Amino acid sequence: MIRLKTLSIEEFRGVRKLTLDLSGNNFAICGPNGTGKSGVVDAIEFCLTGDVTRLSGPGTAGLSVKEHSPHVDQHKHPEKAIVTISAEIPSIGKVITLKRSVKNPQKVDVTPDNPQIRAVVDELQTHPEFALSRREIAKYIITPPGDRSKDVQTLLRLDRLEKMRTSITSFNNSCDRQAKQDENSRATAETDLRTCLTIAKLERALVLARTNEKRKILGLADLAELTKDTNFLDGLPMTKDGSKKPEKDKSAPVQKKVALADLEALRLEISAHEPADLSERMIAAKEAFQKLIDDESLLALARRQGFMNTGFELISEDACPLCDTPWSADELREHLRNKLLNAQEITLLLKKLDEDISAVTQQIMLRLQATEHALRYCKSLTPPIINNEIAGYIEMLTKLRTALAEFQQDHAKIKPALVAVSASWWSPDEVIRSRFEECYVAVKALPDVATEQEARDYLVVAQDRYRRLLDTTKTAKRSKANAEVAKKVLEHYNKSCTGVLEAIYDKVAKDFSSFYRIINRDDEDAFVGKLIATPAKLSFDVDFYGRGLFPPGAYHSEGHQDGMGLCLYLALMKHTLGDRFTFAVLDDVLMSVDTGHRREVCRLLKNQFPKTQFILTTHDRVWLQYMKTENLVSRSQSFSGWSVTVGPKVWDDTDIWSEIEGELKKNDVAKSAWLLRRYLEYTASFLADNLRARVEFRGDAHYDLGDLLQPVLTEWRRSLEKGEKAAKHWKKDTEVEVLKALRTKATELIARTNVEQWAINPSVHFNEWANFTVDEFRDVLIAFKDLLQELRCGATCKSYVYLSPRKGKAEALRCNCGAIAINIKDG
Amino acid sequence: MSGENTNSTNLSPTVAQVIDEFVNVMHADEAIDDLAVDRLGKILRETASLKADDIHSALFGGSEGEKKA
Repeated sequence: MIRLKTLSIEEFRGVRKLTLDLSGNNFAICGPNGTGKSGVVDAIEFCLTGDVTRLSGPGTAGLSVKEHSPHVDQHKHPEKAIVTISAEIPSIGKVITLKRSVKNPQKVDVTPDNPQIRAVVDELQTHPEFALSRREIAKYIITPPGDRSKDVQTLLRLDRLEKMRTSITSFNNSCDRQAKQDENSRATAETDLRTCLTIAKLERALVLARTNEKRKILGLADLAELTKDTNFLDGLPMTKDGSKKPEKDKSAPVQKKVALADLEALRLEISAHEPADLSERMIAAKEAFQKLIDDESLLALARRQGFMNTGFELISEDACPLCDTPWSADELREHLRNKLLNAQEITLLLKKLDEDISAVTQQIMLRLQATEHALRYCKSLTPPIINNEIAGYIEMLTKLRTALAEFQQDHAKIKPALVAVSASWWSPDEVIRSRFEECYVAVKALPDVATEQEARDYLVVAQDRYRRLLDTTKTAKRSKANAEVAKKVLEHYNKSCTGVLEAIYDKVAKDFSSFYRIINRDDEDAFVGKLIATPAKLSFDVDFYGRGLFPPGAYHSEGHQDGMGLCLYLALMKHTLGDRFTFAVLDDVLMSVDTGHRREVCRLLKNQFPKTQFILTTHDRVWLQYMKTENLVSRSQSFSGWSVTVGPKVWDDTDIWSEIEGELKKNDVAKSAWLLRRYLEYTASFLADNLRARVEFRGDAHYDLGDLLQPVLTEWRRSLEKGEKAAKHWKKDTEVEVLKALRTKATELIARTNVEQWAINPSVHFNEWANFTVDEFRDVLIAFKDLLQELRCGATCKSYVYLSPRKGKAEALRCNCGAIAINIKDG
Repeated sequence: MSGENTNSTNLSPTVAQVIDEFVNVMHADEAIDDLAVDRLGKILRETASLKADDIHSALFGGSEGEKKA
């Protein structure tokens, strides 16, 4: 990350031309609403990322960076909208310049440019969270847990974890599916071998008995054991090609015995009733499919289960938490509860449906295999049996199997799957049955081959089927092992992820709590906050004055909630970036923190994040002054107004006097008077705070110059008087003389401004200034300039005086650098 | 940031921590081959958009498609 040294903006958003010198330090921008502060924030974001959230985030349809970020008078000249930043990269000790034009927002000119520097620039581009606005602060606090989870995950760069979880889950599912398919193939191969050997169970002894029976006919020794290397043809003379299979021409095209076994099994099967288990599963699957089709929302419900859980938790008043449609809270809860129950049911329904489909698929595969054998026999016989119908039957079975497999992969493909479980394929129609019968009769009519030939043919087929069973068993075993590993991988991933995230959330929550306690130590010094992560949501509960943990919005005031938002943001950034958290823009964020805790916020930022450069905007001058007196910022820029033609009106308080003088030289007394009044209002508001002036309370908190200035000056003189008394008390004669002189000077200066007359004679008032002549007003101007000069440090810091400490009994009148340090405590 | 993230996909510290933990747990599982775990750890760190087939290749060698073929 970087630290900003200078920022130069040209024709961008509301800014025509502006250069700010930040010198890599904290920097504040102050000005009333609509004076261009956020334009500066937008410019920083644009230069670093090529984007402007305000123009591209939610609710910005129809807006675009390219069309709407140039100044309105230059909207057809995006090339003129340019932002340039010079910045330091602390990690490599380099100063760089970044320049980006709206004409080509994706391209940033980096000087100097090398891969190391590019890596930093690229990271900034993917880390737009360095800018936090007041609007965004709420998203960490008063937000549904699901949204908070998403926002926090984005900040912590956890989207990658979610992608990994998805990939690993998909990998696990595909391994599981593969294992089921391969097991089906193995079971089919087993049935095929059993049919050939005419054995009911696949047992070693039975297999050996059948094959040894044939081997005996061929004069071959019995096989003693059945292993994966067993070859039923062992001992047969070698053929020309070195295999032990009989030469093709010597072998009959249809091995009568085996073919009869296959066809008899098929005949038996189709003439019997559909097995009860198959029927039950098909009926169950059909009903489940029908349910899904009849109520399309059911499937969607399963997917929306998580969403509804969140919604259920969010119901706090008589309205839908999503769309604000009026609902009785109780009725809405009941409505969602029913839907949730439905969603749980649907999950169970889908699980059972998957099991039923797998069982049906297995039966279809067996029938396919038997029919394929029959088709092969039909084709091999002389003359061949007409087999179009059988081929059609195979095609139909294949379609059914595919439809079911496709539904298992994509639940949207319901209708073909419903057709598959509704089809009566177990008992094929008469034409197909008669073809099977014709085939069976034809095979049966084949001349019996010599016993030895028959035995040899039998062993060849048995060996082929045994080999296939071994191969499919091996594949099924491997797939099963893979599926087990995949399951473990997913479990390990979920466990690791949860463990690490829990530890992180715990750490973030601790930092958050500690930051929040710093801000609110006066009344919440035992405060704790907890982040509780559950899949797809992140709950956030905070302590409320030791009465228990509650969501932040439950009892805390909005100001406290905003303070929490800032603290959580800082804790998350600290964790995400660690030492690289060198730069953050807080756009009007501090304003939302409740007034009683602003100084503490300044201290939090200054003391806990000494290596972070904060760029802060505020529309509250008092806030700006707090930032200065707490030494959070040493440099600032005030905007006094804005116009479409010139952009923000920069208010440099050291130049204000020459600006007013400039207007006077143009004989514009009214403008000069307006400027002086605005500046005095600005100064009086924070001086009232600095000196703890006793201002007449106003419910709307709108104080004008007349309300503020006199109490400020009264308090100033009172403090000087107290200082004089204290010096007398401590017998510091020299100080007494200095303070006496100061007080006399103050009285003179105040008298020159006529402020004291405002209360006595309202006609002598700042409202009258506009009617003054140039010379009359110049006297007023000089009087106020001299007065304010006296209220600020004349040495290095130039800060306005303030009473210290800020709370409790005041002990000293001082400035930031200590050049002014008047003790006002007399004992 | 230089030197902080050396891989090509710019891992956040949290993601890196999760991958490290995951790889450690996988290594501790005797049922899973150590070399396969290393291969998986490597692609998790280097590949932003991981596919199920990539994981299959890393763990079992060759994609499912290849195996079937």
